[in-house]
Amino acid sequence: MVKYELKKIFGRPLGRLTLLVLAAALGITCFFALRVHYVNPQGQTEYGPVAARQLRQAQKAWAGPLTEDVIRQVIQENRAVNASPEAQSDNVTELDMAYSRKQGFNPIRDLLNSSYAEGFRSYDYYRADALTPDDAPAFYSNRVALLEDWLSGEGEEQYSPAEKAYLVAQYQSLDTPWEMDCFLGWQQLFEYAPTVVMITALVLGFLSAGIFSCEAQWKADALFFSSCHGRDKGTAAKVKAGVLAVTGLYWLVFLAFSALVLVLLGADGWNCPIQVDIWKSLYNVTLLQAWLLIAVGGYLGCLFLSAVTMLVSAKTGSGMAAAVIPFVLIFLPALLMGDMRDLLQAVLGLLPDRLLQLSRVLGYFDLYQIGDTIVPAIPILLVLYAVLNLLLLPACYFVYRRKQVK
Amino acid sequence: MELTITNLTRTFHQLTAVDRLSCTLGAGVYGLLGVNGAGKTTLMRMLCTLLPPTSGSITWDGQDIFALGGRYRRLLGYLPQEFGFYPDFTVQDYLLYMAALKGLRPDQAKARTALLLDQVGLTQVKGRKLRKLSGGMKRRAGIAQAMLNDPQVLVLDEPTAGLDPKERIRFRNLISDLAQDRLVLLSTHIVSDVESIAGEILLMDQGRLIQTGTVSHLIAALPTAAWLCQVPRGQEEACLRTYPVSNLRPTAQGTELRVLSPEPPMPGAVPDHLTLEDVFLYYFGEQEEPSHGEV
Repeated sequence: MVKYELKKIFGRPLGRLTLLVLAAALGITCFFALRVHYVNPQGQTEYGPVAARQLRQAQKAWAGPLTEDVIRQVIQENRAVNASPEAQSDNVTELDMAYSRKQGFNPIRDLLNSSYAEGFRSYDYYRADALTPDDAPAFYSNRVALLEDWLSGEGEEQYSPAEKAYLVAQYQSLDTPWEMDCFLGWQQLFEYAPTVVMITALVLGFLSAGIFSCEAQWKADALFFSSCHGRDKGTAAKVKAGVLAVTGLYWLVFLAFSALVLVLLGADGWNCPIQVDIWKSLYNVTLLQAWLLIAVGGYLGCLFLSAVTMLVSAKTGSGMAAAVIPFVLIFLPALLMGDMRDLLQAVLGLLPDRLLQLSRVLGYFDLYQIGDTIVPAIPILLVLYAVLNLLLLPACYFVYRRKQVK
Repeated sequence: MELTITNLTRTFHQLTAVDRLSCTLGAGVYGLLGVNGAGKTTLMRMLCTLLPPTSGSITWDGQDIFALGGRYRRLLGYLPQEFGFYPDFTVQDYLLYMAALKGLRPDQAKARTALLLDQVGLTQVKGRKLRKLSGGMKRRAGIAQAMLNDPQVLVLDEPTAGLDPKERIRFRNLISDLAQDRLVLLSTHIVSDVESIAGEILLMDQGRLIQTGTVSHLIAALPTAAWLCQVPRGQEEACLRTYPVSNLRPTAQGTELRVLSPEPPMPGAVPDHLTLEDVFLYYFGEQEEPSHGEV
């Protein structure tokens, strides 16, 4: 029966059209995700796979533990480039030629801008240019010091003492020196993953909206419910088809997108800490672990939105009303503004849209106190929505099997 | 094999669609006749467990059909008035899916599907999508799905609505063939559809059964007679206002009217045989015109 339910979802012209829209949207997203640029030694900008290969080659030269010596070398190299005639020139091409020499250590240079910033929340692109090799030893300690300064100043009111202690402990417990590698593939993946997941969630919500309502829409509900298994196995098959459609399509899309980006831009740096990409992140995980969190979070988010959609569709019999649900759940938090946003801050951190953009949540300081324990948002989101999914899917079954045909 | 309906009532807000209806049905073909809005569809939906009654009960061999649930529905075949289908399914896929819903094993499902496709004359189009079938073909696919589980109770709600005369004759014969050894309840407001195949007629009005019996019993019990009268052209209106008129036919001499009246309505009126259509006209004449001339 599940096979026929899947056929109802994907067999109709609207279902196929929706998949085409998804494919087109993914194609556009992949185009932008893969459009990295590289400035060659002649100062000309290149795009595409060749550029990615050259950039990767340049950055691989700086792969390895990010020790004090490496930091010192980067500062020296950066100073050397800045002192070169090309960097001093007013000619744009010559400036680009100078920049070309920085591309290999640019990710580390970027970390220097964050580490030696004036404040925890400030960022100065040229801060690295003002450093001397003697500054190198403070690279890791600055990260903790800046956080402590901010928590005792600007961020004082935002967190309880326990939360502050938790944040500092998280920063201190991160192993150093960090492993450094070319993480271009992961960086692009994290940048565009929310777009991919949101598009997939909307498409899945749209497809899920018809799973229950199609019977009434096609006036097939009378036959469905008057059959021997309509109110048990038939209804269960609808829920299973919904879960299968979400699971299959989500993982197909997410894994295909990930594979495409990582194959073309490189999967090196999988064991680097997420902080090489998201400096402030309180989550002490590697890039690969972060990818897993993003993937699982996206799946739970898509499943939740589809489950809510299915429930509304089962209850109201209206595919149109149900199809609106994912849009509302994804975009409503963004529309809440001003005082209301402040008031709902704690709740907003746990809304399902967060699951769809977990790569951004990795950089947020959303903390919750459960008893005496401080827990960051991501573990709560994963557990909360796994439980909600486990409740919602049976609810779809129990609501629909009691449906009357008037 | 006994379906017992006891004081069955169903209300929708202020409207009572079925009102304290009671009857017992065994094997045979029952024609449920009534005008639109008489409560036929609501009654059938309750018989198919699609709608619970507000009060009263329906039992199958002494057990409540809603308590029996799937066990009762396993014995049930239903063709609703608005027969919905999945437009992108092929005829064969549709029947296999319905067979799965009806609890048939895959091998049984394939065998029954092949048999019924042949029986309803759809074998040639089994690979065609349902949305590409004609109205008659869709109805035949509908009756095929109703018969998949070889039901003991077959409920057909307006099965010939929208069919052309040829399709209706074919459909009626098909129902007649399939009606052996089962309880068939055939709802319609087209009198001729049930006249020839129903063993018993149930006349339903405003949610109640107002008369039941065989066609001959209902005709014999009718406290009126049928008359053929000739009236000059232009004088039909007076007759139409006074008597129920079941037919009106222009002739060379004027207009021939078929009038229901206990007494001869005018000098020269010739008695005619009463039919089930006259029964319908007698009971429902002021509510809705019967389907004159329908095959």
